[in-house]
Amino acid sequence: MSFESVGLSALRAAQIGLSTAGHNIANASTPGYHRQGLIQSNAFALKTGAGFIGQGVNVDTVRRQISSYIETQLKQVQTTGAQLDSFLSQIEPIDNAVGGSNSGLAVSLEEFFKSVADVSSNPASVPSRQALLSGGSALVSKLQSLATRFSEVRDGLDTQISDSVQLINSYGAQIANLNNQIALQSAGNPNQLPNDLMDQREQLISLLNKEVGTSVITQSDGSVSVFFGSGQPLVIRDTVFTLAAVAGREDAQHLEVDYQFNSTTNIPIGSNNISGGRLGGLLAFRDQSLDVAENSLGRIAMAVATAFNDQHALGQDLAGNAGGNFFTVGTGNVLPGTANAGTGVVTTTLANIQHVTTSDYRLVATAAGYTLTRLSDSTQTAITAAQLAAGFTVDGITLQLAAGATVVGDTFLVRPTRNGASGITMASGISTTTIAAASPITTLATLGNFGNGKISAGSVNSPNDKVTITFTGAGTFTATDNTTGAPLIDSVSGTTTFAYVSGSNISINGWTAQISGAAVVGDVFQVDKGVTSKTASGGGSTAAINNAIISVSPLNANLRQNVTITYSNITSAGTAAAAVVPTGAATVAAALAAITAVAVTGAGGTIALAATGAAIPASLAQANKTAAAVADAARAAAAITGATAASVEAAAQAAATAGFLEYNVTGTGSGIPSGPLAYDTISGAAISYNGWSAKLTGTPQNGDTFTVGPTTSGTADNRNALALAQLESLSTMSGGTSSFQGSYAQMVSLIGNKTSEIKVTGAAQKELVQQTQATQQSVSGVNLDEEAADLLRFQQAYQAAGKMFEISNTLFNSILAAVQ
Amino acid sequence: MRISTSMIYTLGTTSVQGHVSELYKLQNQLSSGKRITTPSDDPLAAARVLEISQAKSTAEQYQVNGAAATSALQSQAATLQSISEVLNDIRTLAVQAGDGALSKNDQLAVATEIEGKYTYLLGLANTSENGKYLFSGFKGETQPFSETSPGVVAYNGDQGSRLIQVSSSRQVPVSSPGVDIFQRIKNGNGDFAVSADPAVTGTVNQGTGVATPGSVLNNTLWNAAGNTKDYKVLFAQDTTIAPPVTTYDIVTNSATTINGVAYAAGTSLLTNAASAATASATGGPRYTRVYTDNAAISFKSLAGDTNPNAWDLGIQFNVSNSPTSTPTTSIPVTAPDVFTVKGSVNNQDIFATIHNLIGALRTTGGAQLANHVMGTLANLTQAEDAVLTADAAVGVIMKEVDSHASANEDAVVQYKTTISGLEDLDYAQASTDLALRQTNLEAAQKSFLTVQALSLFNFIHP
Repeated sequence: MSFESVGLSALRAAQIGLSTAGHNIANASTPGYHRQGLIQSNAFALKTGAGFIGQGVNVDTVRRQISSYIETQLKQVQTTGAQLDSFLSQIEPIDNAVGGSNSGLAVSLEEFFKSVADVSSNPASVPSRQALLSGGSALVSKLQSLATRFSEVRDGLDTQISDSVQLINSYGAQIANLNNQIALQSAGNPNQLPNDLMDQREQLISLLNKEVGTSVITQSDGSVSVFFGSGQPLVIRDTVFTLAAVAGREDAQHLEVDYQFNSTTNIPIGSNNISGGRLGGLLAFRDQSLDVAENSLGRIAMAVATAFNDQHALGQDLAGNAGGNFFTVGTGNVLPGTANAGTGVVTTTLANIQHVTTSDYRLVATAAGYTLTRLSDSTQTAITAAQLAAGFTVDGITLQLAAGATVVGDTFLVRPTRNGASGITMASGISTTTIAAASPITTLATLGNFGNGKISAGSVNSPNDKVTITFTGAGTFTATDNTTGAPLIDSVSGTTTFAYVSGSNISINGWTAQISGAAVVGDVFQVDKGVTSKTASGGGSTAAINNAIISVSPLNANLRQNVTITYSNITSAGTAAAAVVPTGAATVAAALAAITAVAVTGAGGTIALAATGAAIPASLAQANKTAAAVADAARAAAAITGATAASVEAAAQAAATAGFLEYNVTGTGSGIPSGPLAYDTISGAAISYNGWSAKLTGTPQNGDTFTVGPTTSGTADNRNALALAQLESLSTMSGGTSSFQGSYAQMVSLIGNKTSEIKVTGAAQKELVQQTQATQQSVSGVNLDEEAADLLRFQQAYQAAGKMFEISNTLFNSILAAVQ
Repeated sequence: MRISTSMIYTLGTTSVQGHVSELYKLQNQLSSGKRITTPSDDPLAAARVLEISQAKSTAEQYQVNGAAATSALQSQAATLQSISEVLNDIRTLAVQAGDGALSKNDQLAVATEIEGKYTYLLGLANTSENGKYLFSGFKGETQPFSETSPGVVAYNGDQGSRLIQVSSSRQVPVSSPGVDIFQRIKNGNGDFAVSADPAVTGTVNQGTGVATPGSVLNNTLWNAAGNTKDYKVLFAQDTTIAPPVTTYDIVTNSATTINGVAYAAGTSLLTNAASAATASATGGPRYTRVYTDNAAISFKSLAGDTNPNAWDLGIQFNVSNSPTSTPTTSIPVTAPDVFTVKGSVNNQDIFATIHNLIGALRTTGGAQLANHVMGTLANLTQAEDAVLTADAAVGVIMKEVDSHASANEDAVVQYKTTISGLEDLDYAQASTDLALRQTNLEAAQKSFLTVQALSLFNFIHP
């Protein structure tokens, strides 16, 4: 009897083994399937007098071959892989769009500036001017098409975020459901687990991980709890926490992921709390790359348009009018939070493109005023209510509370550059005749001047001119235009001396800056193309200069007024100088020696100052010149046949009293000089008048005049076009460190590097996923050869067990036959 | 290691896919010839290419600008050359007219010929190219010179000089305002002008004296402070003895200071008193210095002068033939022959100079014409100098443009090489890679087929 029962147990075990192998073969390709194996043990032996007699085999259970450690690892590498994949699929279109050297913005920029250069070579040519308009339009449309490309990517991103959130919810619900079933089925029999249900659950978790990174904790009842991000629950037993993709609280175009508690209440999660999987990749791409790339492009567009407009405004068009706008500059926008309780409206305007960053900002109303946070690096700036009401400038943008009032807690998202590329257009009214290639002022040397004095072509003072501010006292300073060397005039005092009030506006050449703190004599500040700096070797005070605000218009109202520069010889104050020249020498040689000694040893300075009082600035070196003239006259007189000590002395005195040249500007307007100034023939003189600057050089003579007035019929005048063409290589961005193309290259490099980084890490991650998968498969995968062997093994076992019954039967029959 | 059957298939497809995608990339590179097809292929190089490509584009633009500058300068140089030739022709004609041997008719013929040259010169001054005038400054479409009345030519342009950017740091002028070439010219010898023109001296010389333009011996003295540069030389001829004696006086025409001594207008520098001829022993008029035909008239103290103050203006000129005076036998001299010496002005109008020469040829003769021609020749020399200076400046600039052009060309080649090195494909390498990839792909395909064909089930025969 026991022999038969042993055979029966063997038969049963072989049968279960066969069906398990069959189940494995059947599910060889089922995703998430783990190979199942028979767990069998030998049955308790029967204790007899003859010892323990085996009772056959017990089938304990069918168990999955699984290593939970490898499973967890696989999910982790898969979720990272999915994140990188989705990041790459988003950034690749942008990588392609910004392109290499032959596509993208670079070519349009180059072509545009080529057309500007063409106008500068042929200012009167209508085809050249038309080509400039076409070049401008091409640049604008390239910028706009890139902006469109970005917004398409952004739209696609939103759709995918919604998709992903829906999938996460669906997987969560299925996992909760399976948790329930598994708990029910394994209740009371913790050793017999529902293998296939658990496989399904594993598979769902694995799919969930491809959407978002999770961590899984198995509970004692066999159910699992799923958490994502930094520990936010998604599934706990049979409870699902539903997510929702909702319109952003500040920017409705910017989807955010929330917990949905019920139909009315959402709790924001924050995109920085979500990582891994497709959703993590999408959010990371949006925050790390798309925003920055779009802002970078916007900034370039704004910089090109602003710099070109500013220079264009300094020129004059074919009709003789001042240059208008060439481009319309895109404007920054401020998005108030949807939950704002106040009525405040905040605006942002461009103050100085040099300092504008690619970051967005968040302005929050606080009890003390406002806090502005630069989102790229979380730098915070405190702003008082009064400052915001008056307009507060930071990083090249001016924020202002334009209307209404804010309540503590109100937020505003400030995007200075986001719309730069989509907002740029050709200005209305720009045509071949309104391109301002000429300069509005023309200088003329009067025909019939006796001397060979010259006047430079002159230029309109530009906010880009480098200006040096030098403190002459704790409360006064002077300003010099470094381009022309001209001292600049204070519009308030009408002189070259500016009164210093800490923190108040200093407006020169179209920019406005503030110096604050206690300044001392010798402090030197510079404003160069809108970039402010303090010279280290100055007076050593702690006074500081802040960012300049650039605004070209309005130009000086008297810019195109006719003015006349007149030279006159000043001889009136000569007697005092003559008194310094030694007289009464006995011989020609003695007279010459005495005079040249005075002149050479520097007492000549005394001569000139005695002659002219304090009218001559020492910087003009008039003293030395007079001394040299006195010595020359004495030497020449001594060389004359029949010279006497008296004649040499008389000639020297004549030279001393001959005086010096003064120049003065007359006509409508104001500037430097505001009264007659001594002219130095060696270093010349610089004039800054009515908003233009010019240089006087050479040796003019008494009565010589020069005029400066409006340019008329200047069809071949290319002065402003030249300045426009030079903008291409000027460093007008990033605080004077980068040109337009340089900034674009920086942006391309940023995108290229990110794409390349994602590609490389993505490839490595793929490799890792593959290896982990191979490891997982080596534990849990189905090998058909193995199953074939198992089939044979169990088949033979089954056959052997069958034989047992045959033998048992034979034995039984033998006994029956013996009995019969 | 245990291998699952599905892994065999996964591995097979993954490796085939990997090879195919690499092949696709290589094929893309080979067909475009570029190593970098998107910035991510080599972000550093891609950004660098953009920057260099801008530099290249700028250098190429400078080349285009340089060509435009050369073309503008060439037409300017050609025109200046023609102007120079015309001035030279006029000079030849003036010399021919001034030798005193011409008959009145011949003089008129020469005048007519010079008039033709004058018209030609005016035409050259108004040369235009592509509808833009060469010499009108910034006023491209304004005719620079127009004759408002005979001999009076007005300049309608401005004094602008168009600049063209030929390198990052250099803008060269490619046009000269016409006023500088034709109307802002010094007269006389460039320092002073000697004249016997009745319009200047106030008297028609009776004698045959002809003055040379003279020269400056000492610039410091001539340009000394106080010198108003306005003098005249008076001649008196004493015919009471034979041969007649001619004397002269150097007189200030306006108040001046020489060597510290002030002289009022009309003071003789030789006597330091009001200029007046004294009677000789025979009653004829005498000035301080005795004139010798073609000897230098020195503007400085000489032995025999009675001026106690030493003086020297550092200039001299020559007078030849025979100046005279009215009367020649008694004093006072009411009309001495006069030559004025004035500092050069800076606004000689070449058109006026030529027009006046034509007038002199038609209306005067003898010494007056000879003096006029002498003055005109000096003025023409100044005008030719002005043209030659402009021409030389153009030449220098053309040469500079050329050197910038070759520098720019070198730069463009250099940039192209750099860009090519950064982004162009190494075809040999890429072709080898392609062949290798192809082999790899075939190996992957074949090995997969071999491995997947191995199955125990093949050997189980029921």
